[in-house]
Amino acid sequence: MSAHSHHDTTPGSAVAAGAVDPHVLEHEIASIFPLFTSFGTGLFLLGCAANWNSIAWGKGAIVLGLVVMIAAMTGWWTELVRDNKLDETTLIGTPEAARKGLHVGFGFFIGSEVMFFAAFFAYYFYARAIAPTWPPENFHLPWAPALINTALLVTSGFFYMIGEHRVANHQPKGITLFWMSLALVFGFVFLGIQVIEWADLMHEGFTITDGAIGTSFYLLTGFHGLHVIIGAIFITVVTFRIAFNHFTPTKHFAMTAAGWYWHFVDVVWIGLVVVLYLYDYFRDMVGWSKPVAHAMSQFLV
Amino acid sequence: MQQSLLKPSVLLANLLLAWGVLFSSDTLAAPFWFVDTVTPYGDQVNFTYQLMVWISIAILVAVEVALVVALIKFRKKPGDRREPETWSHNTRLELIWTIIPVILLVIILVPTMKGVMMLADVPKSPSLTLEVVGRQFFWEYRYPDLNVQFNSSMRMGNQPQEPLHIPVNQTIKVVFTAADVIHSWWVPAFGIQQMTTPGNLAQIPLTVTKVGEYEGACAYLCGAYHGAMNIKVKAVEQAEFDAWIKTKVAGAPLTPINEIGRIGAPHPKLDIQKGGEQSKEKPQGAVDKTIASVPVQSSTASPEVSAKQQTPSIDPVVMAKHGEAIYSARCAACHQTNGAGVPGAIPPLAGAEQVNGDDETFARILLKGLTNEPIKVKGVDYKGLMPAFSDLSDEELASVMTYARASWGNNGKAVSPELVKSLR
Amino acid sequence: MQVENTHAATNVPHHHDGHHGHERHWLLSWLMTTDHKRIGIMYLWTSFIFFLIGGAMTFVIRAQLMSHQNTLVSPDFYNQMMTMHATVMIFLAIIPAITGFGNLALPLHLGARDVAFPRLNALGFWLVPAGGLVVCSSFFLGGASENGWTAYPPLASNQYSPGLGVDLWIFGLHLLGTSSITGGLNFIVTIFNMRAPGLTLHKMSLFSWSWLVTSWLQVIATPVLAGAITMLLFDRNLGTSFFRPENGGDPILFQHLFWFYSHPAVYIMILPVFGIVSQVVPAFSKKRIFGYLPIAYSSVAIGFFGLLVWAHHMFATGLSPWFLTIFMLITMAIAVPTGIKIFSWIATMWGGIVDFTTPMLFCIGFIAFFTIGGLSGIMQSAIPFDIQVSGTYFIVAHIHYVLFAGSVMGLYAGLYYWLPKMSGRMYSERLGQAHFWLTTIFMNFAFFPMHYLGLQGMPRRVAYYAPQFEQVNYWISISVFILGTAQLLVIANLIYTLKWGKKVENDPWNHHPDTRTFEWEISSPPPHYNFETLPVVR
Ligand code: HEA
Ligand code: HEA
Ligand code: CUA
Ligand SMILES: [Cu+2]
Repeated sequence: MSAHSHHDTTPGSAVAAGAVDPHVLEHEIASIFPLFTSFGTGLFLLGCAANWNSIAWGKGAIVLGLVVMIAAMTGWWTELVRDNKLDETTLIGTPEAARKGLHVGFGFFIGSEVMFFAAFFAYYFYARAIAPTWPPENFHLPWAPALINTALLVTSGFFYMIGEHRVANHQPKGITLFWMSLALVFGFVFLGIQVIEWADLMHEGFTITDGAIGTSFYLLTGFHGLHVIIGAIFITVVTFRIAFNHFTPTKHFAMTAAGWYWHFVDVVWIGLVVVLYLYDYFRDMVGWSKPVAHAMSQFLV
Repeated sequence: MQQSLLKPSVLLANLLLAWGVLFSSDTLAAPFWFVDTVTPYGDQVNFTYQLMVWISIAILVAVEVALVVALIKFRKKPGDRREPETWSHNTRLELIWTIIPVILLVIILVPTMKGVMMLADVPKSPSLTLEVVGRQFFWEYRYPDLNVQFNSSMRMGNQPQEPLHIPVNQTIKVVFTAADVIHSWWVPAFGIQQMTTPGNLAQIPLTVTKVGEYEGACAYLCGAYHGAMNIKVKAVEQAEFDAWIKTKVAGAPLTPINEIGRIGAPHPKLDIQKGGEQSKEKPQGAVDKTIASVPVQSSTASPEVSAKQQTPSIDPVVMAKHGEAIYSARCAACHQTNGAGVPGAIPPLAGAEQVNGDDETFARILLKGLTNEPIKVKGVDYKGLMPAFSDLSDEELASVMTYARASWGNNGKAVSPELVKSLR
Repeated sequence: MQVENTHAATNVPHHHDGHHGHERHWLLSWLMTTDHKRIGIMYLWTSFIFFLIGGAMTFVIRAQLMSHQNTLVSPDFYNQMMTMHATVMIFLAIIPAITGFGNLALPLHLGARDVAFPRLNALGFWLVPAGGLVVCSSFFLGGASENGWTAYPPLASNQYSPGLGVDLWIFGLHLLGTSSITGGLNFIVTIFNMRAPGLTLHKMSLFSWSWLVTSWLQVIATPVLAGAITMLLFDRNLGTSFFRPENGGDPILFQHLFWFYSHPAVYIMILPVFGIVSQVVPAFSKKRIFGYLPIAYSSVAIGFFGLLVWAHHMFATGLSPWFLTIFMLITMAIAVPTGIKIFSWIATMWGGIVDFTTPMLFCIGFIAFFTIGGLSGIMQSAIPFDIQVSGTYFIVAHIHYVLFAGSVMGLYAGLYYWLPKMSGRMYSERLGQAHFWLTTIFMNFAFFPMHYLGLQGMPRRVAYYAPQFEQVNYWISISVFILGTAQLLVIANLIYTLKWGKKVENDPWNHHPDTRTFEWEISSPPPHYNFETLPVVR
């Protein structure tokens, strides 16, 4: 009961730092794009399922869904860029706190991506554990493109770091844009090499339907490639925003996030090269692993 | 009854009555509803269960009593002038309700671990090995050492079901796999259930100590007729078992059990994409851990199997005779001995257009199976789900087709092995 | 809560007309909203509608099971009903409902104006109806999935389940899973970053604690489900061989990946409900929660162990017993932290002044009957016993004691507790009490005999069964019909509240100061952005 007496503070009496007029905020932050993004994606997936099952309207639904989805997401991002300031200052007391929130959130997002890849890596280890021979006889993935690609991605990440460093230190944007473009180009060359490798392998008759090895190779590299594409789009946006002077030395979260993403893609790639391409070349050298592996399999089976 | 049920009082009385039945001396005679077990392992499970129920009841009573007492003692009464207490800790109490559960769990673990050890104790050289293969929607039973194989049938459609026979008082080894999807072989009285997974072998020891007939069921969802896929087991004395097994002729050569789950139905999408080259796919990665560790009970030594290599018989009468054995082993479970099928589920073969029509259609169905291709038989629509029988030889397939054509008023036209061969 | 909160909040009048240039049409303002309270309410409505749909499916299920070879529906249709019942209940009713309450109460408990990322929050919400439509559209496109909510291959593969059903089920789950992940991310950041000044982790409400753990589980486990069903999708449509034994795959792997998510998922469905109970019990006992820290950290323990027990769903697969034993031990360990909660709630009532309002009744029902489900869970965690009852109605009994007597009853407690706060009006206590008693009684009539069926030999997921089980099934069905009909009282009560309910002040429950969270210090319903001035905790 006594608590009730505390309640008669007059509205707006003490406006603390970051306090806002609720109505202005509600009006500006409200957005129709989440709705359209969701239903657009739903329609797109519905179309995919229909199309895979040879239903005529599937293709139409895919196109319509994609259009809605892309339009909505573009609108959303445009708003985000426009409202950059809004997001960071209003809801969460100070801009520093807001930025911390974005960092934590994006970190966890990457964590969830890690778990997604973990499922596929788990498949890979499981499949090779139950296979009688691995890799199948006379089967070798060409390692040269993999190593070249590793170099490309790592270098690209390095260029990106230079760009980020320059933004953080308020250095002239012309040269920053040069490094960013270079990072981007390296990413695209990576994708190009990847496409060529796929084409070559398929030409030799090695496809996704070729048992566990085909499945793991195409799915792991495929999903990774997809993430490279997403990362590249992200970097493209960031590069344009540098060009349009959106970032300041203290405020460039989008840039940090794209960087984290790009490094994450990098790390996944290195893991992938090690298990998919390199491990089998060195397998016989690590003799000590055999007794361990044997003991494990005795226990697990 | 339906009428008066609408009256709440009648309904409640009936409900309570039904509950009374649940807790009557009849049902509780099997303590806490557990079935009578007839294997040492089952008894162990039973014991573990009884122990856990007692512990659970004790915990439940403690929780409910504490709850009810709290509610009665501290309920808000009209005109209550009490102040609520202000404490929110009691280390001694908290330690008690942390430690006692741990102790109870450790107690539960003792018989549990004994059960686990009994389960893991599969005999290395059993006097008898039984193989169980789950199939939509019947069980294929095989005695690999004796080259005997037969199929059970599902509960729908009233035909008598041949029980699986096992000898009592000896520990047999049972090996499980599935040919199509996952099933689970469950006989409650044995205290055991085993999922059967294509591409995997599982094995358990089984020692039944009491003569009798036992009922069981498929306990993993395997499709529409999962609920009709029941199990009948007859545990008999050794002598009776021997007599029974003699009545079984090895109708078809046995595929080694570790190959069964690897055959797989054709992938509809792949057939389109790869022009039906499914079988060409490399077998890499095609044997798994479990299978590799189980010695294959080779069946190639049997006379029946070597007969496979002999020149194909072309005498329709001989073929039909041979076909009959194959039919009863491989087809009768679903299509029934009299070829009448199961209304609403399995199409009849007697008088079926597909059987009496051209040879190719008929043979294709057997070779490729039906993967959800809706099919109309004698004016009735069926779902069209049938396994492929490409594991049978050309000669065997021709024989079984010839038998089907020669039976149940069908047209009697024989089928040649060459035709089957040309369609592979 | 040990919060001293003097300058908490103020009532901003609901509509400042002319304050801003123009007001949006009310419908548009809902469709566009990023206000956590409105999103919470939309979550709750969506979830309730799907709860009715999922519940209506049980009417078909139970009608079919009234006799042992009933021809009411085809077995295919039965399996569709059974599959969609579980899918709808889990992914479209319970998870959205807990997220709804999280949205509604979490920012208020933390003294924040909204969640950290309001637009992402809106996306998370709209993905639910979108996912629901995708999943349910399969009924009109040739039939829904028939594989149970676990969708194990090979049955769920293209060979045995061709057609759109499974593909749409997978895509729908992709959308719903994405919703879960975005929701989890959002709540993590909200909790870590947006607590009111002075509100340390050890001072925040237990509901917030339960969400802290839940959101971690969502972010860690859900992507693995996404991976697993994506693999299934590719096996079905692209010819990969993740789970196809004929081509080097293994169906068992799917089970590992599926349960790596779906066991944590059951804790996702129960932890926030534990959180609700931890708020409601002290509120109506007028006494501070007993053992705040043990309750908070037992959630952490449950969450952590919960990630390491998935193979207890695979005891009957024939994997190595020694391997499975590890999972059994960790599973059993979960009894201890859960017991701590149960006993602490009772100790909270002890010495308090217990007021039997509807929310409190539902909490009491929760404690009394969730325990039965928990105990049967522990029994199932003993490998030999689980092997006997796996895949039988014993499991169905467990499921419904933890999910209905647990999650649903706890969510009802939350609904009645926060309904006055959400709507600004009081519900009908009479209807609420009737709803409680009918639900509790017939819930037990419906689900307790299922233990018997399972022990005696009736498998689950069957459209036909052995004749000796007919009588018990018949009475279960009758009880279910009454139980289901009783849920209509909620609709009646909602209509009553919104139309005739008595208007309420800030704190209709007269919380004891030790138990009052921030939402009870501001108007009902709370104003936009909750707090004109952020509350300060000392
Ligand atoms: C909200 C959902 C929820 C919750 C909270 C739980 C909680 C638990 N579950 Fe349950 N479970 C499901 C939902 C849930 N489950 C579902 C949906 C399935 C079936 C999936 C399917 O196949 O479709 C399932 C299946 C399932 C299985 C697999 C059965 C099988 O298919 O073969 C197992 C096996 O170990 C299990 C165990 C447990 C345990 C040990 C707990 C524990 O967390 C319980 C802990 C609680 C208590 C123990 C009670 C309180 C404690 C005390 C009073 C202290 C003293 C207690 C002791 C000393 C014992 N569950
Ligand atoms: C959160 C989860 C949840 C909830 C709340 C429920 C609620 C209920 N469940 Fe469910 N159930 C599951 C989760 C849940 N279930 C799961 C996971 C399975 C396993 C599936 C599988 O094997 O894969 C299962 C399986 C399952 C089965 C076994 C099916 C089988 O194995 O063949 C049965 C059988 O009786 C059943 C019954 C019920 C009943 C009677 C309710 C009742 O509590 C429902 C009461 C509510 C209502 C009845 C709503 C009221 C609606 C109306 C009054 C109609 C009005 C309608 C409109 C206006 C549209 N459930
Ligand atoms: Cu076979 Cu279920
Ligand atoms: Cu579990």
